[in-house]
Amino acid sequence: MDVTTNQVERVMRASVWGRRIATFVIALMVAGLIWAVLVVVAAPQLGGRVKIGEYVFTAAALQSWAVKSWVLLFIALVAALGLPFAYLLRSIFANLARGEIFCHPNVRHIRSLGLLIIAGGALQILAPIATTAYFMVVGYGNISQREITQDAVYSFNGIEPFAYGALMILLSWIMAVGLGVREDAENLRHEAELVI
Amino acid sequence: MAIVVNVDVMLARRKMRLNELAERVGITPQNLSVLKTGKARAIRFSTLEKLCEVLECQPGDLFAFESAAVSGKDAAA
Repeated sequence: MDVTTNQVERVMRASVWGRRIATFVIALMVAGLIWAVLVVVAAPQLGGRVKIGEYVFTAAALQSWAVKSWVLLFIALVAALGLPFAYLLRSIFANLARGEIFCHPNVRHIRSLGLLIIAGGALQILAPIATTAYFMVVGYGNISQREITQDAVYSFNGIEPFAYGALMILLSWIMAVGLGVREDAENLRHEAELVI
Repeated sequence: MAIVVNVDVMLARRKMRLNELAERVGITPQNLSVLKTGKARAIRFSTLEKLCEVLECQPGDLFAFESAAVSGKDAAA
């Protein structure tokens, strides 16, 4: 058995576990999402606190519908990025487990992962600014005053998400070229088979 | 394709079967069938040489060129 076949088999075996772990993570994320929504909507009863960046929303602060709707919107945005990310990862592992390593769906999934990471980076930058602007309009109510600082308004978490996202997109391009080369080689082999 | 393969004509003249020809030429019956039905992309000179030797013919007896205009007129007629 040659080295390539061994490597492919190892990837397939590991990807089965990767798919199972990703499925478990998706289930955890859905459960966490439901719990977070419950905490926000029924906060007084559950006595929960929600922290978004530098802002801490206590049960008292979450009484206000302005705060509740903002927190729910933020949770929805994070879910809109996080759940597709986990699902795409699971899809990639599922393809790898079937032995489909270099294939068009994987190229698309990896590119989409890169775009989601970049979107997450943009959200990290915009969230504190948007949160400050929103609460300047609706009023801070019971939000912990000590948490609201100038640093909180202008917090910047670095360019790592953009770098990682760009790297994923670059990887997808390289994979797409490799896939094209393999398809060309398959076509040439097919042509060669028709030479009698 | 513009090249018409007449291997089956020569097979009939020599009263030979496809499998026998394939065995004597040294190619598989499947490959010979690909050639006979005109699906082959190319033929090696070595294969052509053996075909002519076994069928006792010239390369021109096995292949003919039919231009698109001629084949279109024949179809219309």
